Amino acid sequence: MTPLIQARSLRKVYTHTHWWHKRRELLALDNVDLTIQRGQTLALVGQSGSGKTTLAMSLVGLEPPDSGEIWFEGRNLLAERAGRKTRVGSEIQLIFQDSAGALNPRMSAAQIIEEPLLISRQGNSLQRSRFALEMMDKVSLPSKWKDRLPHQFSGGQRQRLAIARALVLKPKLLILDEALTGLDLSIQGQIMNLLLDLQALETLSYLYISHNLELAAQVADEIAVMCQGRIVERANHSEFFSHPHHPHTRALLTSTPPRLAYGAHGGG
Amino acid sequence: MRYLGLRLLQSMFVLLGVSLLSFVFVELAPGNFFDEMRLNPRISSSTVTNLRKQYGMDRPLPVRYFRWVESAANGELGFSFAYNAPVAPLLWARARNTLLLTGSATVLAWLIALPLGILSAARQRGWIAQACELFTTALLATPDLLLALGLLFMAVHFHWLHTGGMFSRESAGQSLWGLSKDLAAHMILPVTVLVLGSLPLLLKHTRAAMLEVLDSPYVRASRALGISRGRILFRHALPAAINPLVSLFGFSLGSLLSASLLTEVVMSWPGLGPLLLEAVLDRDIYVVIGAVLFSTLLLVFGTLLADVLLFAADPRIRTEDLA
Amino acid sequence: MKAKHGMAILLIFLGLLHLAVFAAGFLAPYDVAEQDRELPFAPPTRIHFADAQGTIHLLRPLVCLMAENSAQFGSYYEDTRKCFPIHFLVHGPQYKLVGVFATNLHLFGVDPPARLFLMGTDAYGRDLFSRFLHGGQISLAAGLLATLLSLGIGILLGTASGFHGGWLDAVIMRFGEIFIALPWLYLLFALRAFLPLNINPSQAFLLLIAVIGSVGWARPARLIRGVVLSGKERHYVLAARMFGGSGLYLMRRHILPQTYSIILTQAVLLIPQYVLAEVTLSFLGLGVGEPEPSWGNMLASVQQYHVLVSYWWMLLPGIALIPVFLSFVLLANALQARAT
Repeated sequence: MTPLIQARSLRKVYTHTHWWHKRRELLALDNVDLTIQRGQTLALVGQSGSGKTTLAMSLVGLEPPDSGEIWFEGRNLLAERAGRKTRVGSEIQLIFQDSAGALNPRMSAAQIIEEPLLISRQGNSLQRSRFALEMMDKVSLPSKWKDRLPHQFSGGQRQRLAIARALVLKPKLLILDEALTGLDLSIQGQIMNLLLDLQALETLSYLYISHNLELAAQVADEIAVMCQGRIVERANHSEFFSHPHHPHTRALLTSTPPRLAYGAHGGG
Repeated sequence: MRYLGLRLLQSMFVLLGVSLLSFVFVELAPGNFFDEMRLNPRISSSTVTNLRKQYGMDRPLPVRYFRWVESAANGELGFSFAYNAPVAPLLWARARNTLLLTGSATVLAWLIALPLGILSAARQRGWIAQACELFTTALLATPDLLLALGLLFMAVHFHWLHTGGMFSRESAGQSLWGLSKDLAAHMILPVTVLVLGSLPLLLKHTRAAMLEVLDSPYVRASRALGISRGRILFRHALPAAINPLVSLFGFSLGSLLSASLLTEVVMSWPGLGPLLLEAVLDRDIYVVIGAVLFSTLLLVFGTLLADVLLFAADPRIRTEDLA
Repeated sequence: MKAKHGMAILLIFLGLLHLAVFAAGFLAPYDVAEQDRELPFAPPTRIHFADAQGTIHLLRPLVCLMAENSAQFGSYYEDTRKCFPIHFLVHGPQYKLVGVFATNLHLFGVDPPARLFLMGTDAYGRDLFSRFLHGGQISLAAGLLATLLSLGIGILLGTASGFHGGWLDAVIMRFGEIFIALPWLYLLFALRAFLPLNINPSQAFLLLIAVIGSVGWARPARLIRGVVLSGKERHYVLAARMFGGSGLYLMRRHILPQTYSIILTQAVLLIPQYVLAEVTLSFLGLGVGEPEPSWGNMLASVQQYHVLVSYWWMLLPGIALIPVFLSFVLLANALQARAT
């Protein structure tokens, strides 16, 4: 079965140059390989600075890697992106951690959801507003709130809005970069349920990035650990908790509550 | 060290840029000093042409620029057509007078603004703060021109002080003490205008800098710990507020030559200002370029000095280099 | 609430001022070039609300004839025997409203031989009040237009710099540093020096705007660049990029709106500065020259000793500047308070 997305040997170096010849190089991605199947959820865990966000940025096209390949549904994504200068490729979308920062404070909920359609010039104004209301429905946001501004929503509601917007162009892979971090526990549960429902409905794949193993474990089919730009461990859910290999993984596991080892994946 | 080297390089670049820009403008300018001469029927056109050749005004732009740079290196900075003398000594003589004025005004202004600014920040609701606020707003609304004219008006009507010039004619030949008194008497009006003109900015910035520091968490923590207000003010708050103040000081220093242009003209003080005005009206271009360069030099120097002081005073800038 | 009221009052005042200056032709009783050779340096005309017999005329105030004092050359006395009422909506010298509609309707005036000099006259017997209003057109317009120019250049270069980054950013910022490093007034002088001196007033006006406006672009550019730099990293901008938004779209929809408040505060700061620049240059003879009035060249004669001593009303155009600058300063304060 062809994987949905396959990244090979991704490499990215950040160089910090001063005028006076002092170069500092930061190896953010060190030969990273990544594969995600259709409809699957891969959790990517690691400390801050391990390269998780850089990987996400590379996949979504906001910060192309220095070298490597990304194959998406059998297509050479990096080559395609290099060809078309502006369009990044709407098949992969990203949900950011700070919901407030991810939404333009001057735009209403409807405008926010309609924006992707506007940019890709799909539909007329009437069709777009109708579509926006449908999307709000899908993420369980009351449609009478369509004219509200982001600051009038709670954190969890804003994330729903962000998710609605991300799904407008029908992506196949959704990257969640610490998307649940910072929300109340109960809200986390709600959003997680929404995500799982949507996954079943639209056959989405998720790349769930977090520094928190606990959250990751609840949604993931497979878990990968990233450390200093490399993926040091990757296993399916049960394997991961019963037979961790890398010392980093073990360290992570020892710092999380023991009930995880028995935690049923997919349960709320 | 590297940081300073970089700043020095930047300053050189700025000066170079200024001198080049000025020369380019000269090239674009219609009319020059010699056109005025041409209008004078008593001077033959061949004399004018010869004079032009003599001053090298007929050579192409790059040649003129290099000759000027050469002359700058020789300490001459070009030639003044109106005064028939090299520019640099001319500038220097006038600049001394200007610096006398602005130097005293700056010192005075800082002496007044610092304590007032600190006080008005420390006691935000006190009468000092309110008065400063009122005073600053009133002064900001009154342009320097009006201050100068207004003070002149009052001086003339109430026969207070000497108006105009540096010395009275009668004082020639007096003793040093007498001369100094006379000079001081002539300085009072222009210095007052300059001080009043610069106070609003200084007050505002001092107060703002102090307020920002006094409001910061670590100062409030000190208060909670019970450290006395005075000690907090002088040992903790003031050093932290130094940053913007040092930059401001550098700027004050740098604008010493240029701040008083209008005042000097209105009060007939023989400084750089009236010279520049004259040169502009006479189209004595090398004087204009020289004066602009002179004051730019001082401004650049002032900012550089401020950066050096900041580097020495603020440990954070030093360690930033190592980050 | 108080702050809101304050700002409203300021805006109303400034609005009225601009309106008054705009309608200078209508509000001014006399033409700017009209000379009264018999009344040079006349003090402001006294307005009487009661005539010689003691009758009160509130709605038709009176103005009495001024004649030269035979005993003292150059001073005037009021001949209270010959008084004339002030009429409103009179027909006076022709002018063009908005430069387009020719009309001769003025708000008020008196019949000759009486004269109504609200601010007195200058050396040529020209009404200072009329010249003040018309001069305001030049000075205020110069300030406004120069501000537009500066901000225009600043916005253009600042957004290009911030959005494009790289070498363009470096070049523009270095270039801007030169302008910031130069003493403002000296730069103005130098620029003015390198341009023709003897030009007619309308050319001078345009030249002035060009010179003043092109000196001050660097600071707004730098501020706008800062906003653009941080603005383009906002996550909602990144999200729009993910949807395929082009650079132009990002600028227009998301990044530029973030600069509006800075542009506004800069404008309020720059306008009075530039008006002052025009006043200064004209005062020194480098700006708008005779016979066109500008607030600057009207003050120039005050430099003469005898004017300063004897004719205090010549300072009135200067004093009238204070409320103008005051409102701008207060407005800038209010805007800054609102931003924080």
